[in-house]
Amino acid sequence: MGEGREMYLVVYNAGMTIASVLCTASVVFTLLNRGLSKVWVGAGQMFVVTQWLALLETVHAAAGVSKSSAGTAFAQWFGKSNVLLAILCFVPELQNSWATALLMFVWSSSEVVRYYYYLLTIVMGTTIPERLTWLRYTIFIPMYPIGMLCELLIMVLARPHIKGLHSVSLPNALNFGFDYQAFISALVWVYPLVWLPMYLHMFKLRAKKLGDGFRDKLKKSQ
Amino acid sequence: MKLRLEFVSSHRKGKSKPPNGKFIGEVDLGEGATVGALKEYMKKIRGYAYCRQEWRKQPTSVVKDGLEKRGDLVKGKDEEKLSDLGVKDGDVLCFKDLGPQIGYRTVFIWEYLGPMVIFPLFYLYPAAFYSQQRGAPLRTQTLATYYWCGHYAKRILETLLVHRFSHATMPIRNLLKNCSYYWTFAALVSYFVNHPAYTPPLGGDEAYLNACLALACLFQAGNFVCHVMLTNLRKPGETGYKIPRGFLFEYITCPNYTCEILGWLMFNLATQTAWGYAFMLAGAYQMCVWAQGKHRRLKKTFGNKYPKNRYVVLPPFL
Repeated sequence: MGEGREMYLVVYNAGMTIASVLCTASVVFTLLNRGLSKVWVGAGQMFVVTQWLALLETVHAAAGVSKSSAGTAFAQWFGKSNVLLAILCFVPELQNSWATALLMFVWSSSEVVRYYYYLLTIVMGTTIPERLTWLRYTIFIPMYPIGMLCELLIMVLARPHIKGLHSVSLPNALNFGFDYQAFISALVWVYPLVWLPMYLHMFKLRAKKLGDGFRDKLKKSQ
Repeated sequence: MKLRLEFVSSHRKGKSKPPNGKFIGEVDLGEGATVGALKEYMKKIRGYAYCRQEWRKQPTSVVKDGLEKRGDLVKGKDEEKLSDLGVKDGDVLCFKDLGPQIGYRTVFIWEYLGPMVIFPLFYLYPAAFYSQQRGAPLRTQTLATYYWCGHYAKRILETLLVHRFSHATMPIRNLLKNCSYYWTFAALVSYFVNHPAYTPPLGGDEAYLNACLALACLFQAGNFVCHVMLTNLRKPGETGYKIPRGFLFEYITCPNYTCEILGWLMFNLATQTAWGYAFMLAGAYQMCVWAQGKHRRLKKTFGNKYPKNRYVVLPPFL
């Protein structure tokens, strides 16, 4: 079980690293060749596929294949999917916005570092290059807030375009109703409140991973 | 009895206040010292209310990474002697501040009062919540509102008159957690039950509605009987576990939960809302967890003497 599990996680994380590299590359190439407004047209489809594959992270956590918590994994997947799969895929008016292009770059480049780090932790264990550890626990400092602000901006800009989208209205047999536009309006207020503790948590992890003798190790390796 | 008192040594990160194993004082509480005397002393010198105080014996063994295994809890009624709880002369006792506490009874009343007030708001003032106009309420909506309020009125009365809480308290932030659970579900269920476009099951068939709610009331009555029997299980002053006998207890370990779950099932069959079913499932899950804990505890305590044929909570599945 142990070895098969490891092998599987290596394949998965390697695949996701490659997918994220491809996402980043297509963002950069479309940006340079066709301009800011065409980034979604050029790279959007690849992001959608990668995001659906990322749902497996929640499955892994729930099934005990990985050690992370299923709740946190799903919350992160849901937050990103809400913007990518539920808004950007459905609102053409936002697809050519600069916020979309910036967000796609921030998302994919952060994921490259994250998946590559996971991959090497499994393959190399404690002998993982210190500089990669440093990058993994440093790059989030600018990336997280930029990503969050872009996501927030997209939700605000989407509001007028999503009336009736993904919504269920009464009457129906289960007496259930859902107003996605109202949900987004509420989420805009809740988002930063949920996001801030996660951001601060990353700093705690950073102190744990990069503190205590990390600098010495880094110097030695240079 | 001479004792040395220390703050509990805490290795958990961010919980280093008060400092590890910090000395509080040495005290001679005299012959036959009680739990109350110890707590009174702590209250006098440090100002912690009785219910905030948790006492343990000094940890005696190390588990791993220098982390100590927690010492045994020194817990008893105020009038119990420390020597009866295994505390010896010259022992070291470790103190932990449990934080601000609130009584179970107070929490229960607040968490049940909310749904009782929130649910009828949607029924009585639809204009304030819905953009569509609503005419005269349907029979289903009227009876559902009465049933819902009656259910929580019963819970409040039981809290006041039936349940025994002794001095039990919980951390004050549980109040917020519990209230948001009950209040939010009450608002969601009521919003859809009293919606102008609400569709009653079977077109609001009267016989069906009456049958469902009558059964729901029957289950509530069963739940009430179980609660009274549980209260009378121990005579005043008695402590320790006892095997409940008679009525539904002959077949199920926690029939009070069985009745509660089936009561909500009947309410949902009568009203048919997605959120109502979600509320039932969330509650049922929690009650199954509790029931399993109780079943295990009873089996562990009584071994072969605990009747084997009893289901945990949901016959024939569990």
